[in-house]
Amino acid sequence: MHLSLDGFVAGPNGEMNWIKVDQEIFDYIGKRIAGTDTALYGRVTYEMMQSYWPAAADQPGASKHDIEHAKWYSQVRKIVLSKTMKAEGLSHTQIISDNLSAQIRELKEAVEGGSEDILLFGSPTATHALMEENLIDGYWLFVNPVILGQGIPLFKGIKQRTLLSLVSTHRFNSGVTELNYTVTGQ
Amino acid sequence: MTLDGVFDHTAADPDEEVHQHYAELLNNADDILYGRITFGLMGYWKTLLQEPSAEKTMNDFATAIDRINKIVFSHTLKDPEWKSARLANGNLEQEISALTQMPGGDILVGSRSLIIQLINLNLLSELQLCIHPVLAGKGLPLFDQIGQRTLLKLSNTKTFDSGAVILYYQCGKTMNK
Repeated sequence: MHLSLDGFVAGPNGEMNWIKVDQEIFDYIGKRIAGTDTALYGRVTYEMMQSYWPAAADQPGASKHDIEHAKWYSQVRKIVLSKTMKAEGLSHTQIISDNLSAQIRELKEAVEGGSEDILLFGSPTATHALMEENLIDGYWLFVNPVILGQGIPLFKGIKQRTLLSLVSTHRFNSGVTELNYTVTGQ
Repeated sequence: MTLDGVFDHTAADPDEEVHQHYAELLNNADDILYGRITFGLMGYWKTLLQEPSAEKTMNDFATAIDRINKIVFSHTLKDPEWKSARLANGNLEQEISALTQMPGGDILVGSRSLIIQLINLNLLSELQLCIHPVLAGKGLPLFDQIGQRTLLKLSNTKTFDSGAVILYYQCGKTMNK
């Protein structure tokens, strides 16, 4: 998740023009997600992904990142949290529309690497729903060198004090800092 | 600060390494600015000077905070009751202007309220943010009422064994020599 220093993932109207992503960051992210079994999305982020990635590699002037990530996107198993979407006609895609807690726990058991291999991308609303049910096991954050002042917060719905363990941190040339945590307990 | 942005000294557990870091920071500066609330909390460290803790780094921190000149911004406090503390003369901008014109080292800012004001006044030259590996869930957000988007430049990071990470950012405006 890309976020501002004051904890926002987007501006108040969804603005993301402040997020720094360059080849250095793409390569770093690419290494980790290459082994990801399952990508989780909320409906809005999923629709954004669907409007871009399926055709991204075929565009004239497609970048190295476009081509690599488009291939990854077409093959990864996708799960969308949505009460309204239907799964017909979508390949490699499953919808979770209710019983969030039970379905996610089932998913974690079914995936070989457990929750380590299920990555939630973007999707602040879905993230908040998962936080409320205490279903998130790790935070992989890219802190941008900017204070936005207002916007959509990453953290919402955390019910109790939660201890984390810092797994790794990395400094990028752009001034972004990776902070990678696992949830250890409460 | 906790990872979810809460500024609360009870939310995180600073260990010896963190106390040592901050004792050194205080020892290398001449002045620190406080608002009334944080200044009140710092009074705790005075008690360690009378009855030292079993932990050396806590005693070192107590010594450091006793030594540094403390300048308190408050409309209600009449007497800081600490030899090395005084009330501010004038408002934040006036006090900083006076301090920067005198010879001296870094001016530290230890209070949430002052940090927010300085960011909004564009008077902060460096932000050193210590992020502890904990989610508080609720509490006072550090970044609150920031009026506009503020760009920063990452200059350094420091990671502690506890998992706490300090991010050092330049903010552009110079506040000290």
